[in-house]
Amino acid sequence: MAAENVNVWYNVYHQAAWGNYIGTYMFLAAVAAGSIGAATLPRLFGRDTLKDIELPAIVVGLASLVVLSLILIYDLGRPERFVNLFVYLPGRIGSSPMSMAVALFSLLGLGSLIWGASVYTDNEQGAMYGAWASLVLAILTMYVNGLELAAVQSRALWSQGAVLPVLYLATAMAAGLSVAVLIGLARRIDTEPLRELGSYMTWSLVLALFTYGVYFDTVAYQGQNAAYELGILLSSSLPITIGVILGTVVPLLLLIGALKLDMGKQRSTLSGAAGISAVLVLIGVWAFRVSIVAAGYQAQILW
Amino acid sequence: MTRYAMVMDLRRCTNCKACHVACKAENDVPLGVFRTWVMESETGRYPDTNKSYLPRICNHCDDPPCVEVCPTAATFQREDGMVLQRYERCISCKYCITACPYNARYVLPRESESSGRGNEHTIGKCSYCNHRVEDGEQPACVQTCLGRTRVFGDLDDPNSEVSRLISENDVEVLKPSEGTDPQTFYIKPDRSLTDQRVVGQNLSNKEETTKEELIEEIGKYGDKAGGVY
Repeated sequence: MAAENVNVWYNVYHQAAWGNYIGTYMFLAAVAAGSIGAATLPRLFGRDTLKDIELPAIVVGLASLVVLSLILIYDLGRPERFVNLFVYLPGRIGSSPMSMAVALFSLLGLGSLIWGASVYTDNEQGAMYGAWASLVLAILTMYVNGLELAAVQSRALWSQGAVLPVLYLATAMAAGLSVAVLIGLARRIDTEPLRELGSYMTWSLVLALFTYGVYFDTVAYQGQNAAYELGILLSSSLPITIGVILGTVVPLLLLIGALKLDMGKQRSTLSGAAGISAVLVLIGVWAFRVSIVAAGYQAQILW
Repeated sequence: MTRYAMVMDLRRCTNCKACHVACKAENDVPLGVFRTWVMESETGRYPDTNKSYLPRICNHCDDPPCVEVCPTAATFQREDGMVLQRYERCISCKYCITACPYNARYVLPRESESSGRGNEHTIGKCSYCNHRVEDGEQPACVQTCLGRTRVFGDLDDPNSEVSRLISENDVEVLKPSEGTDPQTFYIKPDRSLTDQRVVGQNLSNKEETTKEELIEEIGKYGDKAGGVY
């Protein structure tokens, strides 16, 4: 009963389940976990020159968590029942990636709230515990966010890429560092810390580009209907043009130009390159997540 | 132990859609969504064309991905294999729709008898008419099937009709590569049976039939042949 030599299918198609709201939720999850992760740089990794970004990055992370929660609840068919996610959480956390994500988002919000409050009240010990807890939870959140798609065996673009959670982790790191750069620019941090952030961002983009490559390779060569699946993914220009080229390659070149080729000796050049790169990375992460959700849902729905 | 399953004998399906109607009537399934439907495909090039019917339904898989991903345990599997829905728990996150490889789930556009009052916008699916089965009856689609395409019964009972059909025929399941272990089995249509029925009378005295003769005969009996595979 394979779909060979078929001219026409007459089938029933129920409405698409996941769309732009879920893609945007995944983007905000990357921003939230990424910026909370980036906020740990001064306290946990001794980058004292980046101290100015700590509290604002925590606030951006928390704000993203609030907005993504609202988007998720809005996307539910029965939003008033969202509390059931918590009521049945203990029994489902080992099975449903969505339950895992709900638990992680809640803990991440709580951990970073304690951390932020401790920073605000100069409670060093509380801030240290909060930062460590938030870092671990942020990394897990980035990964599980990808797992929410990768666990769905029926959608080849999600499940064939066992690399998808790693891709989500790498791009969330890039998104978080982009937020940190934008905060740094807004707070007018010195040139050296800005160069340092730009350098981290460059490496995160190299990692993201590598995982993009592994992901496309996996889909193209290991999918059951590789050509069909890849065609669906590429039918939209969002994932490649915006997600990979505009959101990863272009910022990488800009940053390399500014940092390594001494084109960024002047503060204004460095700021411009870092700022544009940060915005492009955020747009790219959003575009890829939205398109992978939409295209991934369509693949294999034919019959 | 009971393990309910369904066999679809594709040799018998005429796409009369009585199963659609019976299911809709029995379970108050709203307009625009279906618990069961018949998929059609057209193959080949004129004049050597073909039409096939594939009745679809929730496969009540042994390893149902919809149950696994549900964050509120609204979808659950009974010991007899039925995959059912607790509508009052469902938050309609649509993870189950996404996880199902068979497109068997849908968002209820309005409340219905089967979901219970006040459960609109939750996720609906085939229940194997569990309310009828518990009363010793067959699911509505099976009961109404004019060609006896659909056979429902206990897979663990070696004397049941589903067990007999599965043991006597070459059966297939949909998308076995998904690893869901579906419990809806299909007996594939046999083309030679069709040829024999449509043109066999005229060609029965010939030992061999050329393709051209066959096409000519099918053309003569085009009206009879229409709609058969």
